[in-house]
Amino acid sequence: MSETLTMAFAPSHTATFEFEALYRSCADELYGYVVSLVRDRAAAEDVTALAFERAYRRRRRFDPRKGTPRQWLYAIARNAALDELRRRKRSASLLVDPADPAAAEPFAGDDDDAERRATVRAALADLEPRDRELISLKFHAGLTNAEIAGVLGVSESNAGTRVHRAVTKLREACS
Amino acid sequence: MNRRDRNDDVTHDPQIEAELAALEAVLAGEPPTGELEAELAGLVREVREQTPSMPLALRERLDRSVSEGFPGNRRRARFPRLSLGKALPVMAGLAAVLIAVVVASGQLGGGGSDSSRISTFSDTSMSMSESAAGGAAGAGAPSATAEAVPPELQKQASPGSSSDSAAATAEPSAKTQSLAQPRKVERAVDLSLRVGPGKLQDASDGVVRVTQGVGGYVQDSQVSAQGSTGSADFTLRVPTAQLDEAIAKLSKLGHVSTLNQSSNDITASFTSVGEKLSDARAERKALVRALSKAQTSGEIASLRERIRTNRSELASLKGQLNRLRGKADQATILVTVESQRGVVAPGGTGGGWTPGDAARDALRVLEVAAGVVIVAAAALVPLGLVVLLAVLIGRSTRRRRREHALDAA
Repeated sequence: MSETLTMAFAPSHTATFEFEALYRSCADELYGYVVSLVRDRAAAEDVTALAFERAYRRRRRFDPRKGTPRQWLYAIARNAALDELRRRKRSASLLVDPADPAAAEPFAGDDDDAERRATVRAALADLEPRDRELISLKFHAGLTNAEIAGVLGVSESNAGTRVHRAVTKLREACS
Repeated sequence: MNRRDRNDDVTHDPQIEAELAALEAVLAGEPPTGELEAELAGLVREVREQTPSMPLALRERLDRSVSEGFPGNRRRARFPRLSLGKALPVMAGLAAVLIAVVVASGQLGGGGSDSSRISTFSDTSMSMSESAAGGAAGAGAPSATAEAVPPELQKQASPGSSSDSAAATAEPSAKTQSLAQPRKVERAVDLSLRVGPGKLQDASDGVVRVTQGVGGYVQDSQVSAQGSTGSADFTLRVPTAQLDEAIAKLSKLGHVSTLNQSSNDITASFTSVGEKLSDARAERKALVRALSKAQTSGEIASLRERIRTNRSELASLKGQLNRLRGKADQATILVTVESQRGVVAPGGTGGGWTPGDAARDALRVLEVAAGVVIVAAAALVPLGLVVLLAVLIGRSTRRRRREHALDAA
């Protein structure tokens, strides 16, 4: 999907990409990524909507030399989510993340599967926010290490190291 | 990139590389080929199952917004925002045009060579006593002067000359002589030239050369130079018949800032002195004849005394006549040459805006524009650096705060 998007959205510097195609290709994944950051579905909805609106407004400023459209969109969503976290921290209205009712719903299936999913869910919840973000970017969004590096503002090598470290932690927590 | 990032920014060891490659393969949907791939595939599947799906209401809202182009922002979208990279050339172009307009208007309005000369002329009171228009020297004056003086100045100079009344008073006494002999006119010119820096010596040499070229001589000169600027004063004597040619040539040596011409009809004086001289000569002849016929010693002594007096009178009258003839035959030109900064080199005596003037004005515009750019750069570059530093610090601070928000989440 990444290569397809890169090819589809690799116009010249002055060209504008097709925003709707970008939206269709990664709306769900972006929402999941935002949820992993803000850990509040209601806030994540607002942040996701804001991210797409900002991206639409700034679509003519997209520079393909600086990365893919997905990387650019995820960076916008990340900034919006972090701004939301800062706002929540300043207002101090939420000292503890509320329990996510959807996350607590039991999965259909046998007990082993349910237990396994509960373990994974708990492992994800126990991960540090940065590691959880990396897992989301890698597993949910399917970004390449180069794209993750662009989103986080680090080098590709550094992004790979971070991804490996987060995956290792998750594997250890789930084992 | 902080210290931890730099520590992480190292080449992966083979095991890490292998695990990352396995993860990429699993994410790409390739079938597991080993224990690690199988474990990662299961982990990816289970994590993805945890992914919350987008609520239907949000999906519909976003679908509508995307298809309609986020209608809440349409008003803003009508005003395209110029990025700094696009705005700078536009602003620079506007500034250049503004500078050119301002400088060009300054050149044409007050600093231009020709306009300056014309305005200076208009302020100059030209006293041209042209009552001796019938004289040989006077008759040639208007046509020759036209080469050096712009037409509008000739129009200003011709009417109402200050010496007209004086000429009128002299007219009755000279009327009887005017048809018999050519009129004697004393002419004098006061000419001020401006030249560019370092051009004083060339202009001075030119003054001498022109004077000698028309058969005149430099009666007095005084040159005062200080660095590339200075001034020179010349008193020239040139044949009256060559006066206009001399003025025309001298005017080409620099910008004419002032030009005063005066004419004084001395025909009456010349005639009067001539008549007195004739009378004195007739008296001398009579006295000589009387002396030859004198009988007594007293009579002889008296006649010799009168002859002596007559001789002195004759010498005096001859001297007066020669001086008057010299005034009529030799005109006086007082030339002042000033070398100043900011004076453009002379390009001709015409009043029109020549291509040379245009080139000089264009060069001047470029010089001023370059000066403005340098001054602006001297002020704006440090300011720009401060602003850039502030922007960078602001970005860094905002980024750090955002990252801190994630750590605290």
